[in-house]
Amino acid sequence: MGNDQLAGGTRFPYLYTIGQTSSNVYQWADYGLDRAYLGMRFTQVASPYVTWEVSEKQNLGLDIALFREKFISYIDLFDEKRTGIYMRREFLPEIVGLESVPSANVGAVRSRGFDGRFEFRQRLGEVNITARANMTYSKNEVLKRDQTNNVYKYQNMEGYRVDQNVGLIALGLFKDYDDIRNSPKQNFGTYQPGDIKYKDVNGDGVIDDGDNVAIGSTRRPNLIYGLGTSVSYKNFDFSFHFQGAGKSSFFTYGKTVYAFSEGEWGQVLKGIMGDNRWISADISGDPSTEDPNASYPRLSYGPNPNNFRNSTFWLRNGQYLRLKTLDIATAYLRRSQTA
Amino acid sequence: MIMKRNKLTYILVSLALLTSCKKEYLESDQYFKDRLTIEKVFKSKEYSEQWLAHIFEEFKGENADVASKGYTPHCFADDMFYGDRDKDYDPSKNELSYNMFKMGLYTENDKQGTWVQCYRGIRNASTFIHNIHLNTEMSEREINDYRGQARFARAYLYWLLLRKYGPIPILPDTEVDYTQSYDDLAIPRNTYDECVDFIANEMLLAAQEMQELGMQRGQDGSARPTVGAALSVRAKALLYGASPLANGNNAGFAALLTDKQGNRLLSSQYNEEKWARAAAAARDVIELGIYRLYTVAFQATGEDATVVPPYDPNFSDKNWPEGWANIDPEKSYARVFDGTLPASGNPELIFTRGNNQLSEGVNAMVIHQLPRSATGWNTHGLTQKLVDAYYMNDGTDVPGKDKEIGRGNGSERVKGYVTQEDYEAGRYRPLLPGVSLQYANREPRFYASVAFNGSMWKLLNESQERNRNQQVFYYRDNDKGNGFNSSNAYWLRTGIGMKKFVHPNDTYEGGNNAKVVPKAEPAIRYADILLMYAEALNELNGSYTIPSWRGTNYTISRDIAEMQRGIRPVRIRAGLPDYSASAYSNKDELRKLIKRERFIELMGEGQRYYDLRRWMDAPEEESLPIYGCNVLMNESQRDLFHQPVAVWALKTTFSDKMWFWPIKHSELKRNKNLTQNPGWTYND
Repeated sequence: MGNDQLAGGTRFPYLYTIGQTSSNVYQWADYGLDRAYLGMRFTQVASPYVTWEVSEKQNLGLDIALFREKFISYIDLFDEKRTGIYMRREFLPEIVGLESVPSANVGAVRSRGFDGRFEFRQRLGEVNITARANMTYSKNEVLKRDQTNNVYKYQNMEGYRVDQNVGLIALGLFKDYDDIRNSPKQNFGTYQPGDIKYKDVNGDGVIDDGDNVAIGSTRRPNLIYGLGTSVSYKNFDFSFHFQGAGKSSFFTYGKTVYAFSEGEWGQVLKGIMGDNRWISADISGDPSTEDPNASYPRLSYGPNPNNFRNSTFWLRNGQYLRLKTLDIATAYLRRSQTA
Repeated sequence: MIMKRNKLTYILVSLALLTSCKKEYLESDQYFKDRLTIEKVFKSKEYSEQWLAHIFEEFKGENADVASKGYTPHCFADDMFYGDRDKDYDPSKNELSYNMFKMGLYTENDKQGTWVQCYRGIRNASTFIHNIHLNTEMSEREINDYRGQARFARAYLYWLLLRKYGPIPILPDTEVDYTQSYDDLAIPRNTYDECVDFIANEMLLAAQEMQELGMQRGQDGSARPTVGAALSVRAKALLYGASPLANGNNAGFAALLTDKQGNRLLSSQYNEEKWARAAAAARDVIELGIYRLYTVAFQATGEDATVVPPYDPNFSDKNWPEGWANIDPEKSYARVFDGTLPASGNPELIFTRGNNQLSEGVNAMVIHQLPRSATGWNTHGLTQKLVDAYYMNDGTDVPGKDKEIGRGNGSERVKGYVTQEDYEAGRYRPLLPGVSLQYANREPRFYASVAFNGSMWKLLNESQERNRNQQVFYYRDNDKGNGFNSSNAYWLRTGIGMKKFVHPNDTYEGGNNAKVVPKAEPAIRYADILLMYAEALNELNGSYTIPSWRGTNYTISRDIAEMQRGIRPVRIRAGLPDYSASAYSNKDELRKLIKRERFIELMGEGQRYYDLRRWMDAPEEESLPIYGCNVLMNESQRDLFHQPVAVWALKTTFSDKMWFWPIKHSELKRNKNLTQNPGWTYND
């Protein structure tokens, strides 16, 4: 099975390319003389064993029609195991000495779930009712992927879903300097009361990238569903359609929530400016504004690497249900046209 | 009719096109006819040269042997310091300052260019070594020579790794197969001895491959490796392997430096024969007969007439190389480094990167040595310890030597200054009036290396006559801006500057690099090999038969005449008498003298940092407070200025993590069998 998202966009990954540098790289002669050469090296090494990805699919389909086709359902259960996923090998040790990254069939993912479509039709006198629903649920699991030999096994993506969100676990905001002194050291630059406090997952006494864990679910929703009904009576039509997604989460980021992160004036959300933010009592004159559970940390000017990084603080549930369409329609005919 | 024929032609042509398409429907080779392949590269001489040039490109930057701190803070140990790029004085800087370097305040991510550059070069060199036989434009002799050059490069890159990181993974002879799994690519570190043996054997092979065409390279190839360079690196690797760090090391940290299975990487068993092998390898270089120490002829008259050393019955009356009667020792030493000589014309230069030094090379050092009054940065200087190490011109110690650090012999430092009368009477040459007598009557290398308070800077490339020939003082409130200045970082922390590498023409007027004479990098110098030979012989008790590189046998033992063969040229060229017979008869005494000789002779050449570690002297020497002049004193307090004090602005210490440079985290994560150096972490 092929993959149209070839990593790196290399057209002929099984071939290497050799190229020259654009300028001289080494001068063999004394000063004032010239015996310099351009450099030549592999600009892309070959990936000689790349091949098709292998996919094993199992589907179970169930089509049901009941009560003289008043109720129809199509259900498709699937279980796909894709192995030999074509990936760039980003974590070759530097002792190998390559100047470019080869690719290989190293990944494996299993996805399971079902697709369902349900339809219900009823006629009550002159009223026609049609109701439709659909639902897709899928759950996948990374079985193997290209990754570094992490010290902390919980940082390996195996066992998690594709596109699993990763970040720190936030424990609210620092109350005061005592709180800072009594907490593990956070290695993301300077921080002070009102900044985000994180959990020391590995218990090594410092908060750093080693404390990143899987948080929330995946960026892409695992559950998508829809529900629609239409009712028609004589010339009148009424229909609505709801659509929803569940089982996803995402990080809020950018200058609207990372207030003044780019060091300039700009649009910020009302909550940041309002009372939903940690404000030092020195400024507000009111100790209660030093709220460790506020929705936004203290205001800071310019980059604040301690706060502005992926963590549960900025993680939001991506589930939603929306009314996608609502139609009310009527049709009338002029006599002249029917004549 | 014409129409018809046209139609027919058209149909025929179409048919022909169709059939040809069909035939090569799935063939893609036609698209790659012009593609450069390994075979094409190595068949061509030009392309092979380019491949080799790219391998040597990895010798640049942080892989330089002698370069300014931006590449190698390792050139700065207890001999030499840099005061700039320190955020304590200039908050805009976020670099590794001398104090951070000396206090071990660097991380697993600092100065890691060496690792990636070396292993890239090693892979490309392996490709070269195993494909150059394809060449159709070179003779068999040339192919051998070029293979030798690539082999030299590969072993040299391993040598740079070994020196900095300690034992490292030695890869297979051919390029590592990168299609293997990460587990199979997890190659562990070899032992120090295995690394030394690999480098020594490969350098021997490289020397043999280059011996027909690569004894000397001339002006067009002065940066190419030669037989002498290969044999010298072999000698250096063997000497490091014989030194206490890797030979009978039972210190606590050595027990912690292991592979994943817990095997020690530094040998705890002392083996004296290692010293004999190192000595034999150094002798191989000496017996090539190609190298000699550079000398400048005696000059009887003129402003810069030779300063003649005090009379010595053994050396004053004899001509070089038996004595110094016909040479100028000060100029002989200075001109080895200052750019007077082209690389090919310097008879003691064994290996150099020539002018492949990028922006932080020797010239960058010089502009940081030049005084403010020559628009230099005035931030690289020397320690009192080094100043005290230089001998008096008769070979005795300077009075008051090392008194402040508890190593004095009871003598006091000399008081007083050169007066105008002294100067006019020609006393204390080459000192000018106002200079402390602590700097009088010192050995010629002192005057070639040390910019003491009140020394003469010639600065002949200055456009204005009045700006040349400056006497530079480092007193506080100095009217030319060369003294202590609380508002910037551009003052000498010890009040002692550095002259080595500075050409009489050099200045930095207008920030113009062209006003500094280009200087070839002295990566390996014959004086180093000579001193290595004596050092290795001195350690021997027994007698050993060791094969030379040509296969004949040497008998190697602690033979005084042979040790003098190493020491005398260095001493005589410097205008100093040889050591006493009693010194030669005492192994411990001679070892101290040789260490001191290296401290002086090789100052600023990237040797001291590594010497201190291999001798295992670093814990004591690197943690002694750094002394210097009292730069807070102005000219009216000159006695206090010249009274050495612990320099408050320079910090230094030593801990076990400073034996070897840390391996970076990302590499440890990619190679599960790679072990970290003691004192450094594995994690993020």
